[in-house]
Amino acid sequence: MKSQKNEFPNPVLAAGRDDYIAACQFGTVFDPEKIVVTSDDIIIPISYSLVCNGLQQLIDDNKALAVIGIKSSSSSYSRLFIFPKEETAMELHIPKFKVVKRIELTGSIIATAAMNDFKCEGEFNDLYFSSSTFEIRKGDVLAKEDTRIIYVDDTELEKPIASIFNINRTPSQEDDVMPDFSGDKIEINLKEELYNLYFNFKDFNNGSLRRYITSVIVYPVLVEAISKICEFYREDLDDGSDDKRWFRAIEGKAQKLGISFNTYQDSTTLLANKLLGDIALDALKSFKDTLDSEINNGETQMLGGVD
Amino acid sequence: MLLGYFTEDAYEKLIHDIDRNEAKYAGDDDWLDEYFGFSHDYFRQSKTVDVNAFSPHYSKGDKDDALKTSEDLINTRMMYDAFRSLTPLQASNKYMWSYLCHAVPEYRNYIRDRWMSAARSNTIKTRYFVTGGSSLLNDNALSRLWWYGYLTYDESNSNHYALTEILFTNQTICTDVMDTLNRMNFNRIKGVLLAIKDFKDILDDNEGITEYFRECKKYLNHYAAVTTFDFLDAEEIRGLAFDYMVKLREQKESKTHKK
Repeated sequence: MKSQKNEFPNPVLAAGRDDYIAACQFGTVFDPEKIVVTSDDIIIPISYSLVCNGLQQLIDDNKALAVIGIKSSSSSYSRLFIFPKEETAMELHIPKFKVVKRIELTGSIIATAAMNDFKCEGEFNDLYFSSSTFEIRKGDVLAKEDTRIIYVDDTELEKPIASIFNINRTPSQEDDVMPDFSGDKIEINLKEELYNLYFNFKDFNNGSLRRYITSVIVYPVLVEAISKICEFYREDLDDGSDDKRWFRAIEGKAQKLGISFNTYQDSTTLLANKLLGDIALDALKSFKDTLDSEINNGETQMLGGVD
Repeated sequence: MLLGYFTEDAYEKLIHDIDRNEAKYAGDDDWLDEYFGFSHDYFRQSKTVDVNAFSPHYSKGDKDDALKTSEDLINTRMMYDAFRSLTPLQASNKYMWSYLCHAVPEYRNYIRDRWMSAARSNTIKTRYFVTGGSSLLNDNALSRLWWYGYLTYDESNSNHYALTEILFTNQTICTDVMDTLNRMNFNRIKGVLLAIKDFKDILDDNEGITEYFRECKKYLNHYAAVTTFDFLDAEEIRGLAFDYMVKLREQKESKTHKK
């Protein structure tokens, strides 16, 4: 996630902003491998580094604090963790039953009280601020980093790849099939007649044709989804699609096959077929089996051949 | 009682078949077992999530907004008292709330009475199902009550539901207060609700609060874009919100006098 380009009323030390001289930096670091989940908490060891004499002095004088904001909007959880004054490392203990799906983690330096003459001598960008001073309110952001996301419940990603698709009836649309990749799941919108056929075939003969109809409806959409992921990496896009569940599920399944989309050059059709468990062959086999059993059960009379 | 929840397949099937099942939602009969072919594998019973019984309180038939609001307050208190052992993680489970709305006869009756007499095209989907974050907090007939309770329950007050009572000033305030930025932070929601109460006390009887509060919400959102609200306490946020609404009112009055 990229940083929001808020219009701050004061200089803010942050990547992508040039409010400070280039030598000044702020950021936090954690190692995803060192995150521990206990029976109650998600524990994240984290540290920060600050290169800025002015802001460091404010921390030393108790006029500023280094903090980590943790948010999980699905459960309305928000909490501020404060680094102890003399330390640049701490453990975040996040109650795991209070967060849902994902947590957003943002490090920042904030003011502990109002200040009338905030300045960082020689460290503000001269071009904009020269020797200006600023009025600061309690809690105002003085330095910040890009928000990072940690997914706390990826159990759904372990489900079969078909679980990332929703098949919907949308009578109002003009085309028979219209995929929508904008949500967490891929919505495959079908016009009334096609939807009804899909649902009838889905449950036909205890689901014996399910693989076949998956190959007709889901397979081509998965090919398109994979193409979008390849494009995301190839074009270095920043449209947030990598945050969506379908994107992460496909990426995760591909990784298990040893495939990285950063370097993937092969056919998207080939990969979609693999992810769906050799759907092309399986679908036609199941279709043939169903056809054979229908013919052999004595209820079907062959009236003519096929081309 | 132990809670149940739909399987993902059952949930998807029901949501796809809303139009087809419209008459079933309007009727009294238990229809789920038959609909799922008497297989009983369309739901699961939780082995661990144990809650107390909750029976919705409501007067039958048409209700005006004021009565709906007062019943919402009563039901929020009762629901949250009964289901307080739920964690936010459990209370975010769309399959659970959707199951309760479909499977428990007294919940079905409550939903039918409250919403189905003036049903719109999406009433069944919004009230019987949870489809997303906003639906969980504002729309589903039962989950909204739990989340209203959870987000306004004040451990530090002898009347734990004092903030909930302010939240239910009216339906509009309730929805406006529950927007994403307010509900993310208990101090913020507490400060905002206390400011609403303070401000309401100085308003004339015929003066509405909604217009002032909506402007105040914008102001707080701008403020929070550059300030860490999690670092402010409820009293500080109360002061910010109250002072802003008072200033707005003074500006409005001075414009009126000039005319």
